[in-house]
Amino acid sequence: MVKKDNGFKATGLAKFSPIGNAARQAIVWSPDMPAIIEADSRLVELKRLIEQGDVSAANDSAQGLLNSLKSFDKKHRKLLKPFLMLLDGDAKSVHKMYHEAEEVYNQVTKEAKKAGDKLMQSVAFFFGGMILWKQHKQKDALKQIDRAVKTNPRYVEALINKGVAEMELGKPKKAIESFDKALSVEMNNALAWVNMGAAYISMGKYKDASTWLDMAINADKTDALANYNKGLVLEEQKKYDKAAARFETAFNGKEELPDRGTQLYSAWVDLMLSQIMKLISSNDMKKADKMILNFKRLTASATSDGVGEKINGAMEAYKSAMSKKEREHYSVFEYKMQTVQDAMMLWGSLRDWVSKKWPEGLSVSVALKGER
Amino acid sequence: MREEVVDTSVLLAGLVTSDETHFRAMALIEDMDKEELLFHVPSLVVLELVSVLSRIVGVEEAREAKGIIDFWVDRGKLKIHHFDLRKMDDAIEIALNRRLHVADAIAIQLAEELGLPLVTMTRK
Repeated sequence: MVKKDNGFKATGLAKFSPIGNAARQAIVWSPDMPAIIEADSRLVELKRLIEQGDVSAANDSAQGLLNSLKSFDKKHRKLLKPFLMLLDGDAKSVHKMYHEAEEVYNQVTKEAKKAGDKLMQSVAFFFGGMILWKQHKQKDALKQIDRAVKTNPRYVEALINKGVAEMELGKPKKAIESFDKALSVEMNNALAWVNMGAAYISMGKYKDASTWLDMAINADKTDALANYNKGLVLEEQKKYDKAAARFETAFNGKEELPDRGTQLYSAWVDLMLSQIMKLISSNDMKKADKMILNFKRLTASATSDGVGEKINGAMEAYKSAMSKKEREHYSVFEYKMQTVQDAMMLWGSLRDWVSKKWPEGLSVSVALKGER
Repeated sequence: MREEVVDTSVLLAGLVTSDETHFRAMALIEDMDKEELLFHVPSLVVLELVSVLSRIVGVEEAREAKGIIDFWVDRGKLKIHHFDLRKMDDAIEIALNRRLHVADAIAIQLAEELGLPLVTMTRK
């Protein structure tokens, strides 16, 4: 296996993007905001814009409302101020004005504290942290997200993202603690399960990793992140066919992956090529041909999905790390890639793929009735 | 060499391992590939196969299936029969007399025209 310069790592996912989401989360968390909003038609309209995701329009409206804060009930003003300011932070985030957004979220933490709304304050801490993360200031981000979870220990999104930040900083044990806390609040959180799996992989505890990843896959068979990480576990356990199948399942959801599938395709190409090279070196050409056909079909499919460059890049990386002996086998592989054309093999390989995707319980006869 | 007219269900069942007719369909396809059996198919069968696969499984798989069929056609293992006005008139009569779906009427028309058995994996 060529993995010297091209190691693949387990991937955790911080799903809760900071972009334009703070005000929306404040409505969820703040105990008083929903009632305040419902009592005023201007705020109802603002909420509608927030829910539509129209951050710029929502911010324009929020700035107007901030200027006429005195028109609101006096007892609501203190709370409305930080809430409306959050939209400024959201808009600046959307426009990639990270430094400015960070300042706004910092001000909001103070205003929310003055208003006595700890939960809104935790939202501002969290999004301030996420903005720092966006700027690759992981350590500062972690501190800020930590403040969010200390202020609101039930903030599941923040707990998960804290864990992912800890993983990225090479602290998988700490990450596991954070995911554990998230699961103690929301025991069926699939994202926490997958991240837990990823953290155990990075510690080399593959059995534990499998347990968590299987839970996520049982909840959603198409979960790309879970399947990718499970593939890594199976590869470590030398279950190569099963590992390849997991990677291939993850292809369909590559957009959900943090790097849009770069690592996934590299891992798959590396696994497939190393297996093909083994078959060629042991002169098992029948199996090699079958695998090459499968590789050919999947790479063609990946290329038409717009990820041809990822595949080519991964193949180049594999080639550059090969030994002299492996290079000879690689020439055989390249020749076979050009020439192998056996209809029954192609059919068999297509059959495997079609059957994998074919809906359970659907007969050919019923499928054809749908066509007629 | 045996010759038979086959409809879409034979090719599709050959791709769906969970279907109860899969192994029967695969035996026919293997015979065809070994040139022990010549498949005659109406052109609509190819269109129907591609359409079902693209709708249920994916466009790439549908293209792949079309590519393999072209491969068999090139090697004379599978013969595609195109539709024309005369065949249409005959198929219309068959559809009207037996109250059949269009694809079934077209397959029966071809089998009758060639004087060959029609093989299908669907119960009709």
